[in-house]
Amino acid sequence: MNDAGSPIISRRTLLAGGVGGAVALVVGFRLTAEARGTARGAISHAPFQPHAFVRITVDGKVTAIIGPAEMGQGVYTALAMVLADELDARWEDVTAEASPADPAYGNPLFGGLQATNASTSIPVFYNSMRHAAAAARAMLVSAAAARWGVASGVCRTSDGAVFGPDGSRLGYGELVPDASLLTPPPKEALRLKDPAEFRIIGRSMPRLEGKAKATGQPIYGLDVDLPRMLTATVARKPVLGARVKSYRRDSALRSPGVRAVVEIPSGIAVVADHFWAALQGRQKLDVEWDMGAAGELLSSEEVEERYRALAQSPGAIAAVRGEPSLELARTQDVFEREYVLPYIAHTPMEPLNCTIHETLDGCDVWLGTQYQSLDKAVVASTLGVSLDRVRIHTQYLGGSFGRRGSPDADVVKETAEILAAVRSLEVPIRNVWTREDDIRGGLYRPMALNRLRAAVGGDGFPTAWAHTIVARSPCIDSEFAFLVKDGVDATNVAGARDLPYAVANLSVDVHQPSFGASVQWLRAVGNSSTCFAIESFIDELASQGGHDPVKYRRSLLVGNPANDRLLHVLELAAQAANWGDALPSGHGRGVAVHDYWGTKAAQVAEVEVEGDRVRVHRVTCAIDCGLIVNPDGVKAQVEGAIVFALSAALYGEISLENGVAKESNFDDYPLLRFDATPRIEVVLVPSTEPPSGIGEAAVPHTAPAVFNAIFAAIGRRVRRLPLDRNGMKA
Amino acid sequence: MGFGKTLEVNGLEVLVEAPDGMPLLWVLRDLLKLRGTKFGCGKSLCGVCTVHVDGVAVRSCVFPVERAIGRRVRTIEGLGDKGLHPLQDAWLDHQVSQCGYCQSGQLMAAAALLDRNPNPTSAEVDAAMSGILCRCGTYPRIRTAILSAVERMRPVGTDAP
Repeated sequence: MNDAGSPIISRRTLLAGGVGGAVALVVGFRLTAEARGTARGAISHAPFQPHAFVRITVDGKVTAIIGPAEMGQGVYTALAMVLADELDARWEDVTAEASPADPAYGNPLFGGLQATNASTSIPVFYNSMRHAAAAARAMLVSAAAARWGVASGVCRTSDGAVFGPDGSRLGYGELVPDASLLTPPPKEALRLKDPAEFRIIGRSMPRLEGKAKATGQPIYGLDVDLPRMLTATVARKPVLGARVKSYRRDSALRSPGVRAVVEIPSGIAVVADHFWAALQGRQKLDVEWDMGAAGELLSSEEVEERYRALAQSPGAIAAVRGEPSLELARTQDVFEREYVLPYIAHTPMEPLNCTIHETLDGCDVWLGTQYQSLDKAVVASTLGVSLDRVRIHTQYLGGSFGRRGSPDADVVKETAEILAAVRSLEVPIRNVWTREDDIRGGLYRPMALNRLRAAVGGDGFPTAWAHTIVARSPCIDSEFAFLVKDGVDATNVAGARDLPYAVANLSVDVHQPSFGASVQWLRAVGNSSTCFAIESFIDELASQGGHDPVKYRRSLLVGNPANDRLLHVLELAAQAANWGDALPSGHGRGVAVHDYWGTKAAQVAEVEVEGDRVRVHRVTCAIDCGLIVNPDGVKAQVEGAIVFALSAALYGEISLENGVAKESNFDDYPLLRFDATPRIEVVLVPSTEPPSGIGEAAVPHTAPAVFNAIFAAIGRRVRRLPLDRNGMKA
Repeated sequence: MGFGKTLEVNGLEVLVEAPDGMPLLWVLRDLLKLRGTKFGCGKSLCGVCTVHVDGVAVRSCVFPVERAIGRRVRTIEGLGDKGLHPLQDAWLDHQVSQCGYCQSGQLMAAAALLDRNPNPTSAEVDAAMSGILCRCGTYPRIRTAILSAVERMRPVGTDAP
């Protein structure tokens, strides 16, 4: 269920005023006739909001209205830069704000749902923002030209103002009342800047909310504070399907500050004056669970063994080229390896939370989310109110990495259920998860087992390549089922089905069993698994034949123009990392190259191994993400991606025991710390190609680059993540 | 039970109604509405709740409120005396924050370090900062920002150690 296609715009947008029309259609934004009437009748100091993406007020301030969530990836700043450049606004006049949940902000790559996923925000909204800004600029120019009695064509714009042929100047703010009365020009009539005219795009601009973040401003979901608000925390079922056998309701109720104890589908909620009181109450519940109805409760080892058995037979076909089976069948020594990645947890630093306030005026929902349209629908259906009465207020996300984009909107649904259970109190409810709730709460990056087989020719290069993947799909039976075609979840096989290496005979197939832990996309989705497998396997093939790892990859990429950009980043990374230069004994360099949904990157890791201790000294990344909007922002994402990936490579593992994670907090689920962080160097490739994503693109390479470096240092292969499963530690 | 407690927070004397054992974190966030100090783990494992008590960096999520009575508590809201603290300027110059959630804790840990040791060695920076987790991976920029703040705060005519 989603609200895409609904002709109703949110109340907040309506109140902000605006004139819809042709431009709006460009981005799928529609206003009802009634709404247009309201806007046109607005008084003269009303802001100018020609469409969904921009609002200009009479003081000349420009607000970029952003649909995707800001979770640290810098999308608010980047999209505001795109808008400001095309509008010819002054950067100091520009701010960004979260859009309402509205089809106008739907992501066409995700079925029109308002979803911040798979690093698609810049690729998707780069052009929409430019068109929106160009339309607004054209209207401001028309308004100025009419005032001066000259043709629009003789006017120009710069620094937040329109200039007439005689040098007269009208600031955008002064033109707001006139421009608001105009009809937006059709898309065909818009003139977009030539990239040579860009003044903001391509420059490193500081994050718009940087000061708020450096001064502790309350901008996150968890910081929401409303009069009379109560805080809830839930003693949650350890696994889906478990039932409450018994609990001490009265003990919890007697705990100071506790106002209510209610059963909801996910467990037992304790509602109190503040979080600490709720937590104290929850600890007194002493719940006994009946796990009987929960079905099969597997350990990680059992899941892995079943995956291994499945990998012996072919799964759903994701790609075939040539005659891989024939070629493998007639090869004497098939080179075969298996690469396994465990479940890992997202662990954003801000624990999961949501706040809902229901009044006669509708339902207001505050949270950090990657998936506004579903949240809105879930609140409406859970509370039995119509969609147009639910308003989503997207807060800054204290990290997410996929977790706040759950396809069943778990935290939002649970909060609505708590609210429904205590509706008679008529208070806002804030629901807060603890860190243990987060780490034990299910929804992990899929465990993945990759079985790779190659037939190798006399020259050491593969003639056939067969890749079988076993991983639960986060998409099947979810809101994202449209990403599953012919039984293949595109996000499980990405990077494998589009193997860039020249191998004449190729097969990629996938098993997507539904047992084991519930799974959800985690930053870099299935590419973390496929890239680790492929880049380890290719490294093994190279060393098997006595080839240099960089030269071997180059030989398999060269000659295909589609690989030119990939080849270029490989060369750049190798060069920047001093590939081939001598290293002290016990040190090694490893490489990985991979195309993440259009963004091409290569990484070289340098490690030192002493006994069983591994130290990652340096990681160099060359990356080509097409046109670069904010170079320093891109660089920051690459640095962050490498640190994120190192946590997974060195420590990350959720191990199930009877279906439940053994890990619970950062003592048994460690993350990379400050003192273990390597020197990171980033080489950006200038480009005029359309922009591709950057939030995830540098994650997949780090693990294989590091493990290939360990092999180069001491001749040991790591085929099972994380590092400490291999008798070594970081 | 007498819950009333007088604390000094960011130079102001405040009276809070909090039971013994309630962590300072929740007193700051839920009772005093100072929400710049963040909740991350509740077990003194991630450090995002770091504040100063008598100038020393402590984990407010496990610091019982009664231990703060009569002592000076400083939070991110009180970090800059007037305007921004030099570390906050450095944070902006080097664009440290990504999601930003842990940065209050990072800044308070760094400020406590520089208060007692204006010329820290690299190992001392490691020791002071390795207790604060950042899931976005801003560590390299935190290091750069701290080193640049050290330069900025250095009295004229003195050199690095």
